[in-house]
Amino acid sequence: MAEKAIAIRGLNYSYPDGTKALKGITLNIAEGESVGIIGPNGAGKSTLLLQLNGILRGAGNIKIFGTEVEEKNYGKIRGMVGVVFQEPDNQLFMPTVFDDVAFGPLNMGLAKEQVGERVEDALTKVDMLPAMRKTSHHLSFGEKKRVSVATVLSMSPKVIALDEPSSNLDPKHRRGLIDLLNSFDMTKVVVTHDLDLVSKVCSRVIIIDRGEITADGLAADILNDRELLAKHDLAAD
Amino acid sequence: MHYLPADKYCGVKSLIHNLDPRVKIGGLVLYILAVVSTKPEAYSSFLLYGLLVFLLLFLSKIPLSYLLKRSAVVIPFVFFITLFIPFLKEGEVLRQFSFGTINLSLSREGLMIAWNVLIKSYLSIVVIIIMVSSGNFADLLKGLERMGVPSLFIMVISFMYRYLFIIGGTLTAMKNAKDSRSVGGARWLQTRALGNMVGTLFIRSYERGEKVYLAMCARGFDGTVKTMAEAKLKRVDIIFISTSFILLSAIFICGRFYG
Repeated sequence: MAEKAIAIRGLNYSYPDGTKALKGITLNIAEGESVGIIGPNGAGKSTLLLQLNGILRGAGNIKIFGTEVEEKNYGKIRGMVGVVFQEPDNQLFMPTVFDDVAFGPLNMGLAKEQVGERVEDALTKVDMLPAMRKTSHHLSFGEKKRVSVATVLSMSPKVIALDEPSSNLDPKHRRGLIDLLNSFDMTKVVVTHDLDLVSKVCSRVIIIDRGEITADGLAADILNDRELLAKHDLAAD
Repeated sequence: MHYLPADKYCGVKSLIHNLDPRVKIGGLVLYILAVVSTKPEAYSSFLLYGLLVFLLLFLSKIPLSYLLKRSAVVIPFVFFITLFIPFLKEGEVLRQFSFGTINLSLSREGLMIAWNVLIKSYLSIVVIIIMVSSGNFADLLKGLERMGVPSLFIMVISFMYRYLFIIGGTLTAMKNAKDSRSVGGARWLQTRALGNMVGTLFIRSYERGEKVYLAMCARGFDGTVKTMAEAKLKRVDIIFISTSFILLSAIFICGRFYG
């Protein structure tokens, strides 16, 4: 069996107001796996995603390639787990596209030449190299989304975690995003409501409802189980 | 996609656009220093400084109409400040005006000060506009950073530039939502809604700040700002700054002796 990319043991998390967001999550994800996390609104999907690199910390234990997610390892963990946030305007905060994509590698302490190479490489992968010197508020939404992915790719993460990657994208850009995700061979975790995207990108699906894992299995099995999807408010009709 | 008025000509290709931002900032400082230290009576010097503005404008391919429009935003402030000086300053009286009990006298010294303030500020303003408009704002920030402005300070300005539109967009969205539901009703009710909107806008901006900070942390931000310094000065940069220095010194010195 491939190495465990993500190992979560007994993870509990409550919001500051006391609401329980995650209850006893235990989960293993193997290296190279592509996992879709689905569930109704407010189920705790995004909260779980932010636990993977220590942005949110709950009680329990998370290991990324054997390294525990704790404060002293944050630098290493954040180099391994790239999180693409839902809202690109939060992800892109630097004055130019180049600076945004270089932000991660510079924080990793890479040499300047290497940073330059990484930036060009990442922007080429998402087909945004010509926009390198542009300011991100001069980009369209779809372009911003692709640059957001590049800001994480430039860090060469072993795990890429995306929060609602297809939200607000038009059909053409959404298709482009699916192709882009399928071209990555690192471990992927995608939190989304877009079941079609899951079926095209993920081999495994996990359903989270009210902070608990209620189903975990092959994408083909879960996505065809209409009864199960309806039970968790995931069926459209 | 949003553009600041100052971004309108940032993509044009010209000699000035091509200059290193440090050279632009340096040239700008030199120009302002030369202009402000010229004697107010050196009229021919001011004429020459004005010709330099036209030269810059020509080289930067920015239309004159744009420059006039942009400067029209700033100059009224200066104008209203200087408006009263000729009447307040004591000196050789050129003309007397009386409105009932109020007597106003226009003095030569006061007029000279007003001219001095107006011409110097206008010349400085137009050159600032050309320098800021002829290139990327981000590059200008980079230039400032490489000239030793603390990176934290640069970060604050760059965030402001980056999020100005987003906060503006949030405000427009809230205003549209309010207008869609404002059917009649008293005016004071609408004003109250505006007050609430300002509060909401503040909270949203604050939350946005938190989220951006989290996104920074997620990419390994540890409190120190790291950026890439790149590019050496090109030949055209050196030529531009030396020519500017020589021309400005020449005009300044002429003003000293022949003004």
